[in-house]
Amino acid sequence: MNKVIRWPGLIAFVVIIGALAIIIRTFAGPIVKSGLEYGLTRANGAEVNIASVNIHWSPFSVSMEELQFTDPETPALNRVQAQRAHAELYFWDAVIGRIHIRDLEVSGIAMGVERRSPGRVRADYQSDSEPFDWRQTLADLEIEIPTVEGVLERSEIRTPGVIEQAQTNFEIQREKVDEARANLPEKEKLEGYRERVEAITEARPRTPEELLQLREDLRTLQRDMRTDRDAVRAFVAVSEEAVTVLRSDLEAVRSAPGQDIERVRSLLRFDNDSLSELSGVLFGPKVEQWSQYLLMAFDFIGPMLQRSDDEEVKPSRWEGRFIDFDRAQRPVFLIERAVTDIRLPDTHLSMDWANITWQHDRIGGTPSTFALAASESSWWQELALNGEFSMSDLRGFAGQQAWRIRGVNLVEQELFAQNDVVAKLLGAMLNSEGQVGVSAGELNGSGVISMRDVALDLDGDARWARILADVVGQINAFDMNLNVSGPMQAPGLSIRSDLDNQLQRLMTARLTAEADEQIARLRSDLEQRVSSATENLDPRLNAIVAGLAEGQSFEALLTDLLAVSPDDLRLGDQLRDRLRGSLRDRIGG
Amino acid sequence: MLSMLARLFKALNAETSPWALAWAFVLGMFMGLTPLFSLHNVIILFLALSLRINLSGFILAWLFFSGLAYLIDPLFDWIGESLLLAPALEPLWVSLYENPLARLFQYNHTITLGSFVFCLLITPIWAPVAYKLIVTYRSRVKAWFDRLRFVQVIKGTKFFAMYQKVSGLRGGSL
Repeated sequence: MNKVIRWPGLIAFVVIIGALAIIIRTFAGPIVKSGLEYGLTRANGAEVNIASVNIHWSPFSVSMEELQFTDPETPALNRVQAQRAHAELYFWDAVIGRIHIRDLEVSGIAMGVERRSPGRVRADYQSDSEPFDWRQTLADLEIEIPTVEGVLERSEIRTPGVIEQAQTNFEIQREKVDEARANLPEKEKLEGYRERVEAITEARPRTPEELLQLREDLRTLQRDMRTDRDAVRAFVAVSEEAVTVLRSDLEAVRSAPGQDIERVRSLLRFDNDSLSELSGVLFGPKVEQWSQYLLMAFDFIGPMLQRSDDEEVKPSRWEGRFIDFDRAQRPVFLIERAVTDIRLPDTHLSMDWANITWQHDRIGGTPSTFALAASESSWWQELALNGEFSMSDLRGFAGQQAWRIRGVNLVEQELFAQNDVVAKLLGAMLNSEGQVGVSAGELNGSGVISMRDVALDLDGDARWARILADVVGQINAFDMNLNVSGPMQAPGLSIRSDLDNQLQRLMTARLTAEADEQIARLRSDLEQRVSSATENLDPRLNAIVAGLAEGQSFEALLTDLLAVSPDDLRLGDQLRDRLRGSLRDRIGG
Repeated sequence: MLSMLARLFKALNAETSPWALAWAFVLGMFMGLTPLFSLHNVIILFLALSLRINLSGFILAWLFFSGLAYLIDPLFDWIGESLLLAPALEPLWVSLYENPLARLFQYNHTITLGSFVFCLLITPIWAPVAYKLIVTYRSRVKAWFDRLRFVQVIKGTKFFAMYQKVSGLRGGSL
């Protein structure tokens, strides 16, 4: 035996292997800690810290304390952190790289918490999206607050011009009317026409010669009357045009001050496009923070998808490759049950998970599910969040999540603090519901956040800040429509809100109120000018109208007198009576 | 390294069994040609330490074959892949896949399996060849070698002094 066995060598081997086993067992925690930190940092894209890892051998379990995942986009914050994680798993499966966790408990989960020192970001990290920068300053929005003086300068007050135009038009029309009036026949002349026509029609021709003479006299008289009637008609036409023009001008003069004031008010109306982004600036960071809680399930799922992608690396012939003979179709990674305890300010929530894996085909297509339901508390009336997801070779990644939150009491919190402007939400009641679907790793969904009993406060020295501060206090309720889209690991958010419209309306009212005194002065001045102008123009218009009426009566008389035809003259009483009756009917004589 | 070579030469020249040296070369070949951090190499190391084989020969063979392995890894990859993808062997591989111990041996890694199988196949050839070379060296090459002029020069070098120190044979032949 001694010729074959080298005892010192055998003993040395046993000692070395034994020592290695003792070292591994003793330092398993730190070794696993280093390995986990390295692997998770690669998956996360930024530094991952674990305070300590403890291995329990029977039953085999791993406990981790104070896990911190640096947010690669904001290294000063943790994307997610947990106070403690405990996993019970199958040892031999873990040895061959198959992670099968029976029970996972993660407690003290929080998101967006500031780190003691900024975490390191991997040089090869690439952001999956370009999220909207909520943190731009309000000043960047270039909110332009119009001043009353500026508005008056560019508002082009038109009333004086309208008055001047009316006066000019009046002079022109008056000249035309006066010119036409000069050709009018005298009233006495028209009376003479009537008397002469009556005399002709009253006459009793006894002979045909007398009748012919009368007819000739009537024709001669009517020729004169037609000349005068044409002059009267011309006067009436000119007068009618003058009345129309002057009435229109006077109407324009009277309405001009109102139109000018309305124009000034419209220029004071606050319809700056920049206000359409104000709700995003004020509430964007908060909504982003809230959405992190709403979408936290996908923060857990994201690294798994990354892991499943990593398996597609093409092997090198110099390094070899592992060939998969997994015909038993057991998932490489499976968490049968997990309970995650999420820490919120002054309270916490518990979320239950089941069948977490990225190989759902290997567990009969059963989807991974997560659900959070909290009964009524002092913080909310109703809180429910649930969802499921599954990955398969045929269908790819599919999942959805829905949430419904009622009566969340929001306590005082800072919304915005930059450039000496501080905006605070003093309190509000939040309701929200929505749904997000996932397809091919891309999130797409929407939700509504309704804020009721809102109390807002804003403080700042700039003029726009002071005006905004005056109006935000009047905001009582508003809705924010939330759109979620983009990669699961870094979804992008956009907000549309009627808060912008409300602020716009209130700021306009505020500016208008500020301008009311000056607008009233302007209105008084304009109305005085109009009054002065109309005092002058109204009697003149009335005179033209009176002249027109007289002209129209002349025209009617002449028309009636010309209606008597010479051929109507007859011999004897029969003719006289008929003519008399006709004349009586027409001129009432 | 000089000391290691000196020890090897001592073993070649001394009464060490040629088979002890030959098996040292075989185990060194296993250690060198297969991926170092594999479970089977712990067993190889166990055999090398606990059996009376020549350790210097083992270490030098390991170093030599490690260098060689870098050149012929694609060959091992091809052998391993051919075996692992052979339909006839699939039931064996599938049954081993659920065995944690087999997985720890990384049997489903192309280069690990390919190099190990290559070593197993070459051992029946390499062991007798190594034995023959050692015997031939001792009977013929050594005498011829001693007569060479440059050997005479080497006898005056530091290496030779070290060799003598290791062998403990003052005035011994090379």
